[in-house]
Amino acid sequence: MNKLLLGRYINGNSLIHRMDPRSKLALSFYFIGIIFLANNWQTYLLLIAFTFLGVLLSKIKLSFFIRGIIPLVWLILFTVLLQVFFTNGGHVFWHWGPFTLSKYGLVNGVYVFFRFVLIIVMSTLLTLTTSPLEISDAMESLLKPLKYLKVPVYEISLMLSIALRFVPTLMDETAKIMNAQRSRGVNFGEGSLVEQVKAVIPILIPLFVSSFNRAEDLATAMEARGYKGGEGRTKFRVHVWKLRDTMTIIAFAVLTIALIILKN
Amino acid sequence: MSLTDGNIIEIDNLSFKYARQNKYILKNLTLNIKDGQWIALIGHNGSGKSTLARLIDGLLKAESGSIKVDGYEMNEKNIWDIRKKIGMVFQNPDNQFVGADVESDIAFGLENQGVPREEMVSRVADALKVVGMEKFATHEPARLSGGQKQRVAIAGVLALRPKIIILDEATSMLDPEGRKGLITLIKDLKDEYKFTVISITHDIDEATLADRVIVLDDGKIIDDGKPESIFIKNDELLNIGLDIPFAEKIRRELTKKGVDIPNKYFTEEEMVDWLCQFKQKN
Amino acid sequence: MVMSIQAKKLNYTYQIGTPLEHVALKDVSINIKDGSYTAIVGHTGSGKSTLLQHLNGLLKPTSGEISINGYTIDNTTKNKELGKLRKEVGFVFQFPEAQLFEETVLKDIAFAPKNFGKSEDEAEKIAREKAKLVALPEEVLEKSPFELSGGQMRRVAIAGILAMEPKVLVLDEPTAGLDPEGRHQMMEMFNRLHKDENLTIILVTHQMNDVAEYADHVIVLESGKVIADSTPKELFSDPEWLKNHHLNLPQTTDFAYKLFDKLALSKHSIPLQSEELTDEILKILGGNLNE
Repeated sequence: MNKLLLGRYINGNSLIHRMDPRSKLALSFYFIGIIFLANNWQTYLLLIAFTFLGVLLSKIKLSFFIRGIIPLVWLILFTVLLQVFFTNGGHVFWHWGPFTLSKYGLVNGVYVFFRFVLIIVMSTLLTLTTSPLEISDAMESLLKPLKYLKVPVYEISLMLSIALRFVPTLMDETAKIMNAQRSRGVNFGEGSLVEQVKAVIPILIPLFVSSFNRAEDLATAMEARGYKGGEGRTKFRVHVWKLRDTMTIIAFAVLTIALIILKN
Repeated sequence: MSLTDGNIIEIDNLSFKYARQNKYILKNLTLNIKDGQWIALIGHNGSGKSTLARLIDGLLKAESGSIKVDGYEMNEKNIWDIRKKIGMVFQNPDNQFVGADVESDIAFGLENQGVPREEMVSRVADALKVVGMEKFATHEPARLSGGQKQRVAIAGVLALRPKIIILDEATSMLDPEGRKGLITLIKDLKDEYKFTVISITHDIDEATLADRVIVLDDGKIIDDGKPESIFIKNDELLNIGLDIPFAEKIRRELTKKGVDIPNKYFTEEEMVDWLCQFKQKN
Repeated sequence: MVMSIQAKKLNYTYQIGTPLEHVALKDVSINIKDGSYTAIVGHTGSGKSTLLQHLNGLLKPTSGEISINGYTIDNTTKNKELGKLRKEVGFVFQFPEAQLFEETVLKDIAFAPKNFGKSEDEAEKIAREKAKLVALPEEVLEKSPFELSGGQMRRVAIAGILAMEPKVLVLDEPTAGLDPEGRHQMMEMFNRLHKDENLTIILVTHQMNDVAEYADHVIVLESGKVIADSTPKELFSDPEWLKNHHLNLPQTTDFAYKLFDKLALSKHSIPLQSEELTDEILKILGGNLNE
């Protein structure tokens, strides 16, 4: 059931898996930033090589990354075509109404395509090698400065982690309720739009009721175990900064400098 | 602190009802529980058992009456100290699993108490070992059976080193194997750590393990004593919708069929022995 | 037409062709006769729930076939055809009260008949009948199902299944979470439905006492295979075999064995119900009881 968004984490023991989730998360965001430095074939080649190295180091099959791209294929295609036909400059090959096919347009289209693919591959690399739990730890850590603005960072992170923990439970529950209603003659995914919307009610109401019951049970259990907010709590899960994290940061720094030198 | 008469829990004239409702869930209940005993709290659904457990842990607020736990009076000031002394395991294995994986769930209570991390790590490891779940330390709850989740819940409670453990129908959602395993575990742990156990249960075999059985009906204690003396009164148990132990059921039926069996409580083994002796005599 | 359930070489594999591929049922061939009371027993993960889901077309076999009251399902069966089957086989899920959603008890019970094409009035009439059949008091019919006690909610859910007027009733651990009295009443109710309404009952349970008390046919599953298919009497006459498969004896049989062992009696008939057990004890003790 959890083959959807969260089942994407693939257990492993590669260098990338063992990196600190904080550095992985931060560097993934950083990568999206520096990708915009690239503006010629040398810089793009460098970025592609760098990303490919990351993929190799994760020891995860390439097919998993390709599967990450497939759902977004139409979006990529649309954006690329937009670039190709609406960018002017250089030699014009073809012209019709508002559409032009120029050298600049073509080159830009190729760049945009790679920009997309690289961002997707890099973020897939993050989610494939980092469990949702680690990602939520990392988010808490990175959001920590917001504490000074009175943002309840700790509570948000606990909420996120509990939500993640209950996703499989609620998915099982949904499947069970759907089966029960199917057995009572409901046909999902059939009939007119109105009928389909109607078919959702016998799932949603039981799901709400059971979620509320679960939430109440959970709140009682948490209170019984002494939970009284984030104040004065210690943390069991800590992440230790390792040499490999420092090395990766250095690699990213070198990449940035190389990009700045090579770009036009 | 020395306890009055060795009572770890003293409940005096306790009444409880939900706001906006007229019916009392518990009415003028008085009860003392001795340190280190295994108490079985039985009664049909809605008799007030779980409410009593929640009141003892301060999860509900009494309308009147008093509760003393390990010498501390239940009030706003003492509530967190009292909760530290009590570990609760609830019915639904899924709805009490807070952590994203086994070890972080066990650590949850320790984190709440602000235990330093180094100590936390060793206490979590110890608790995991005690319940036999070392191999599952990094498993998410979705990969555990109901019985395993309840073991994790017990480990989470043990890591806090409570004086009292309350099991609120903790075995009722498990299959027979899981149930047996969990009960054996708690019995062994109790023998080793000498805590007090309050077990709310419908399982009559579980109740026979207790030092003392308290029968609750409609918010009142209607019977209280050693298992042997409770289970002999089988009509009363049947009337409030509880099972009677199997050997007792057989004794009853045999008596009806004209076998002259003494009117006392037998375990299954004792019953078999008695029948054998009876046969040899005749 | 012969009304029965027959599975022939039924196989089912989850997530076929992925790294998570998992075989849940292997060459399951069973025959459940019309009007029988069949117990299906097995540990968590034995394939019980996968098999159950085949009984009313929630799953289709990966290979092999299952025929239910004349409908045959294999992996080529269209989903549309499964609808009719669902009317034949009523499925009471574990904790069935989780399926309640309507504003009133009556509406919830009438939900299934309406889905299967009954008019509002007809459906309500059926709902009233079925509410009576599961012993729901008249005054709860207009209440919200969420106001009722756990035991009553479960009865509403069961009435909602009976309202389809199925010929077969599948029960997945129907007494889980009830107190002893509720459990007993519920099992007696199913027995009554079996006897008076001629319902074929398929009961999935961990309670060997219930198997001994009510079933006339028992199927044991282990790791997706049928490892026993017989009568309760036959199954419980081999305690060694049960122990090897981590299965319990019913209390009656267990007690009888303890007594037989102590008295060094062998080859005695196996009592299942407590009535049988006490009769057996009387026989062993011999005539002179009231000297």
